[in-house]
Amino acid sequence: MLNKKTLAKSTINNPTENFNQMLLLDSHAMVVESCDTLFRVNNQEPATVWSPFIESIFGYLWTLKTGTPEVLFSRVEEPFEELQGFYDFTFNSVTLSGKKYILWTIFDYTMLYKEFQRNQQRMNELELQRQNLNSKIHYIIRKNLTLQQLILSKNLGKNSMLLKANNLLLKNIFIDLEQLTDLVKYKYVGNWVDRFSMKEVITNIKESFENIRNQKITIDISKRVNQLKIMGDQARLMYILYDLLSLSNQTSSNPTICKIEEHEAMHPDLIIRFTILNPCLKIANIDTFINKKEFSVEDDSFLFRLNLVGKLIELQSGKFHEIENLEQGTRFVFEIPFAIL
Amino acid sequence: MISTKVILTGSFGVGKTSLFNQFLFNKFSERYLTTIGVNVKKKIIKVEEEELSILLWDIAGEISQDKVPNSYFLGASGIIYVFDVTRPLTYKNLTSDIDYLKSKIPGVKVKVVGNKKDLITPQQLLELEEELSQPADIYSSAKTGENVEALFEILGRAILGKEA
Repeated sequence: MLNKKTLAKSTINNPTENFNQMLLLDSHAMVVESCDTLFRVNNQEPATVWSPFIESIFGYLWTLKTGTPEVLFSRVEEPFEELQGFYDFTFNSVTLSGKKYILWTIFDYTMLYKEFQRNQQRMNELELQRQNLNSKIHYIIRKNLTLQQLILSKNLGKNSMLLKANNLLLKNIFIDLEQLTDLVKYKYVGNWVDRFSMKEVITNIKESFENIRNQKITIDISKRVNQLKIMGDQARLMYILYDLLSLSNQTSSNPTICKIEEHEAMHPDLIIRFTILNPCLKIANIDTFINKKEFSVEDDSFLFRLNLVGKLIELQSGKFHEIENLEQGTRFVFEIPFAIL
Repeated sequence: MISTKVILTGSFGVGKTSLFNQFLFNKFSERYLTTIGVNVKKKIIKVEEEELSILLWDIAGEISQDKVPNSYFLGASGIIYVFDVTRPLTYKNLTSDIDYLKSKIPGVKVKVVGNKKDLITPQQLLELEEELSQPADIYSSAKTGENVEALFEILGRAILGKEA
C-alpha cells in the first residue's frame, strides 16, 4: 500500500498542512490505493468513490497525459456522503509500474471556506440590497412616479406613507448615491461626465458621508424652529444637499456662496422649506433651467449639482418650490417632507 | 443512457441554487444562501422517451463569466445561463457572457433563463424583453416551479439534437 508520505514525495512538490487524502483511480474510476487519512475506502470490495462529481469529469480526466499540469477544482461542496464540507480537489495523470492512473488529491478546507462563505454572504446581501434599490429608483425615474405613488401601488398603507417614504429612501439613498448619479448621468448628460469632474464630486460626497456615517449628528434647522431637530439619516441628507452645492465653490470658475439661508417648518411634522442663495448666479431664463435636460461642459457645475439636488429632493417626495431671480443672484427654494424626530 | 454535464451559471443571487433544488428535490427556500464553489447532483429526465442523465453543476455566481474557474467548464455539454428579471445588472453582460461561454466550450448548448418571473407583471416582462440584448429562451420561477422542468427539457432536447 502506498502511504501519504510516499505519495507526497513522489507526486506533490509542496504538500500543505491542509493535505488530507490521496487516492489512485484506475480506468474505471475504481480506487486502487488510498492513504485513508480522511475517509476509508480500502476495506471496501471493490473500492469506489463514484459520485455525480466524479462521473461528470472522469471522461475528461482519463484523457490527461502523464506530466501535464494538475487540474484543480476548488471549493467543491459535499461531493459525496463521506465528505460533508468544502474541498479542493486536484487530479493528475500518473504512471506506476507501467500502468496509468488518476491521482486524486483531496484538501479539506471546510473551516476556511465556511468563513469565506459567511463573508461572501454578507457582501452579496449588501450588493443585492443596493441593486434592488437601484431597480426601484430606475423604476421611479422611468415611470415618473413619485415615491408616494410607488408605495401606494405596493399597498403599504396611506397613513404611514410619508414616514415610509422617508425611511425607505433615507435609509438607502446614501448607499446608492453613486448609482443615483449614474442614473442622472445616463438620463441627462450621457458621456459628458467622463470629461468633467463629476466622479470627483461624487467621491467627495461619499467621503463626506462616510466621515459622518457613524456619528450621531444633529443639525439645528433654524432659529425659528429651534426646538425641532433632525437626526440620523435625515441630517445626513441635509448635509449631503448642502455639501453637494457647496462643492461648487471649489470647482466652479465663478465662486458661489451657497448656504442654507432659512428653514421654515410650514407643517412642523411634515415639511421643511429651505432656501439656497447663489449671489453670483443670474439665470437668464428660469423656465429653460427648470426644463433643462442636458448639460454641457460650458454649464456652470453649480447648475448641474443643483439639478442633482432637485432630483434627490424629488426622490424624497420633495419639490422645487420656486426659483427667484434677485438683483444679486438667484434664490432657489425647496420643500422636503421630513418626519421630525 | 446518455450522461451529460450541465452547468448552472450567472450572476450571484439570481436563483441558480433555487432552480437546482427545485429541479432535483421540488424544494424552495426563501432564505438566500451564497454558493461559493460548486455543488454537483444528478437527475435522470426523459426526452421523447429517451432517458438523459443530467449531472448538474450549481456553481458560484459571478458578475462576469470570465471569473468562473476554467476547470468548472471541462467536459460540459450544456449551460443554463440564469439572470434575475428584477435586477438589470444580472443581464447587462448577457451577450458578452454567452459569447465567452461558447468560446470556452465549442459546441456547448446554452439556454438563457430569466428567473424570478413571479416577481414581475406581464407588462414588466414585456418591457424587460425590450431591454435584453438577446432574447431569453424561457422565463421561470424557482419559487413556484413554473417552467423549471420545461427549462431542462428544452436543454435536453438541444443536447440530444432533438430541437424543432
